[in-house]
Amino acid sequence: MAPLLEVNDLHVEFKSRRRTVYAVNGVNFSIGEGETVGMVGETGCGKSATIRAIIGLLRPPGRIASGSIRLDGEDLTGLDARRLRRIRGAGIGFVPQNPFGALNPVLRIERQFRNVVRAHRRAGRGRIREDALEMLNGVGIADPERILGGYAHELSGGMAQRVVIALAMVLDPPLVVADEPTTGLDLTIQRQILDLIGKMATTRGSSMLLVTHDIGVVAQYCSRLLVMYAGRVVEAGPTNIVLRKPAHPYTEALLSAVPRRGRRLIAAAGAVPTLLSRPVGCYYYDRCRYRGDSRCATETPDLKEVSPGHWAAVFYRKPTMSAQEQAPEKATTQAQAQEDRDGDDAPGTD
Amino acid sequence: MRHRTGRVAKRLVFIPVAVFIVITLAFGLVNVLPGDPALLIAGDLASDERLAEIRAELGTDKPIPQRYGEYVHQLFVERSLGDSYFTKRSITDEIIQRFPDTLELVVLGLLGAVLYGTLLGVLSSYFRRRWPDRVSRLSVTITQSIPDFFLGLLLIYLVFYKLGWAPAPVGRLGLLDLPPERVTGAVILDTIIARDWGLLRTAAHHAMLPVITLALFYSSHFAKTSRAVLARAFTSEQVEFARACGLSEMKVVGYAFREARTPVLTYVGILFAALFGGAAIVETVFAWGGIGPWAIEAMTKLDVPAIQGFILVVGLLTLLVYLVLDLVVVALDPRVSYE
Ligand SMILES: Nc1ncnc2c1ncn2[C@@H]1O[C@H](COP(=O)(O)OP(=O)(O)OP(=O)(O)O)[C@@H](O)[C@H]1O
Ligand SMILES: [Mg+2]
Repeated sequence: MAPLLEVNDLHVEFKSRRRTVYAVNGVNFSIGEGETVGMVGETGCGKSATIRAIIGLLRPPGRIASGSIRLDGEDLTGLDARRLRRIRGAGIGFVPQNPFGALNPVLRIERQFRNVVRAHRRAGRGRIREDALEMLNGVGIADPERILGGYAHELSGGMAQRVVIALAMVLDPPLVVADEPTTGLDLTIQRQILDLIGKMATTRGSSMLLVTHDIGVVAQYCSRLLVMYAGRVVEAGPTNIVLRKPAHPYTEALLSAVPRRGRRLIAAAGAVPTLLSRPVGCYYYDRCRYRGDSRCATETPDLKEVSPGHWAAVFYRKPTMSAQEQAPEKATTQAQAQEDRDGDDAPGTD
Repeated sequence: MRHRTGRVAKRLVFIPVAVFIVITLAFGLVNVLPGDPALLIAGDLASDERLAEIRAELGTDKPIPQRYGEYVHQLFVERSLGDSYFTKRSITDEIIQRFPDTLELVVLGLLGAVLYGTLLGVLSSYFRRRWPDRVSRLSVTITQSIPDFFLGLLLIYLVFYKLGWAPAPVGRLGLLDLPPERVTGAVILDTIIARDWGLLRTAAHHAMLPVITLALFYSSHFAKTSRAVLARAFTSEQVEFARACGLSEMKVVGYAFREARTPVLTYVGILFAALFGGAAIVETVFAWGGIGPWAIEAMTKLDVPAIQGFILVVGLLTLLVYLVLDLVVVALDPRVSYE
């Protein structure tokens, strides 16, 4: 069966007159029906850019440079504005970071439900109100009637995010994407909201792409996990396998930087490349503990299946990743490679 | 809700204080002006006795506190704004006669400025850095760098003289037209009340150029504020989420525009008050009549009661407009509460 969402070789650039940021550099993944997929990676690795490309709302000057995003087989990258608008909300629900910013400050919540529903289908007030009440009940709001008649500023952070989730899911989109839906909320409420999102996706049977820093939530709700680094997916696979037996040194570093379950991921040693040019060789070369021969410096590894359903962008399996201390020549090779980076991506081997 | 009624109540309590301040300002501003009205009335060659006589007649020989007391007494007890030093006509009558014309011009001109200006602002911020934005910016640059009287003359030259689309700038109506029966004093309104549609057309035709002049000249304020607010609104998370929910672009613009309502309304208030004097030049260029040219003449002649009356009326009107705006803002924005 074809997957619900299929992202193929996606490239996203932020191109201004002075510089170009290569934010997403050939991302591949797919999400099956009813599947909940987590996406992790440190800041600036292109998670939001990927999510925004999927809903067609990259912030200028961002644009999809190449690649395809298929929802139910239909490529979203070439769609005209009208068709794309119909898909947003009804085909893909979006849960943003900051619930206060997302709600309209001067419209009653009920009116916002009405606007969202009527953007996609004809419906009477009573019907929409019923749907809204049911949704608000579903997201754990005790007195939905009062909330519907009120405004965003009367809500607490957790309540506001519940309302936003209800709005994003009121049209029953088959896919929900959530970009760090709890940043800015209290820690205790963060867990509640993430639990809620996971539960909503499961009970409503929708697929879900969840960007989060919370490994505990990933472990609990996501059947699969994508690890991003410098605008690429470097590892993908069943959550328990990736968490227990990471195949990419970056995943390993990320996980070892997590003191215990439930804590936010923090940056592993080193920094993400600035992405002002596409790196030559493996994107993780500079920080890699296991980097090997010149192949790592000159060729970019693609995802390959290291065990059934478990993919990693590495040249060497860990047992052979031991040629650590050959830094001097490797550094030179890397420097040379960096110098020719303006040319083609010709994979040079010595 | 409690907060909002509280806010309104506080504003209402403040009104008597504000009225008192306006009265004092009207009195104070005029009496600190340099110059002696008696000299202007009697002429340079008048004898000292004649001057003293005139001063006694006007009351300008009395000490300031006493004059202030008499002024307040005259306002509240005699309910009068006094008589002109020169024409001896009642200032109240003078103002009632001219005020509706100016009001009509200012309301229509501001309405045009708000509509045209916010349209420019919306286009400019929605199509950032594309051609509608450039056209809008050009319009703002031009209209704010041309003085209003010159803009008026330019329009007269082009639209009346060259194209013949507008009537000659001879006032509210043609020279041979009889004005409608005076009900409100506002000619356009009176033609509507009289159901004289032919005359309404004439009046509207004559109002066209002065209204356009004001609308263009003041549109830049609205264009600039609404552009600034909307540019932020269009990249706000609120608008982004609306788009992510699949709302149409019309609705999205509507969401963004709600953010711009309050600053635009505030400008309406500020300009409304400023235009009662500020429209004087346009009123003069188009022989409109109105209160502006009258007030300017009063100032050059040091016609103290007329100046005081003008300041008082415009000041009170400003208070009223601000109060109404405040109520409108409270009604439009659920977040506003009085802390
Ligand atoms: N408007 C923009 N203009 C230029 N560069 C941008 C813009 N938005 C994002 N970028 C760049 O794109 C890259 C990816 O950013 P993105 O927001 O996708 O990261 P992220 O993984 O979501 O990080 P975080 O965890 O902080 O949210 C970063 O290098 C960032 O600097
Ligand atoms: Mg992000």
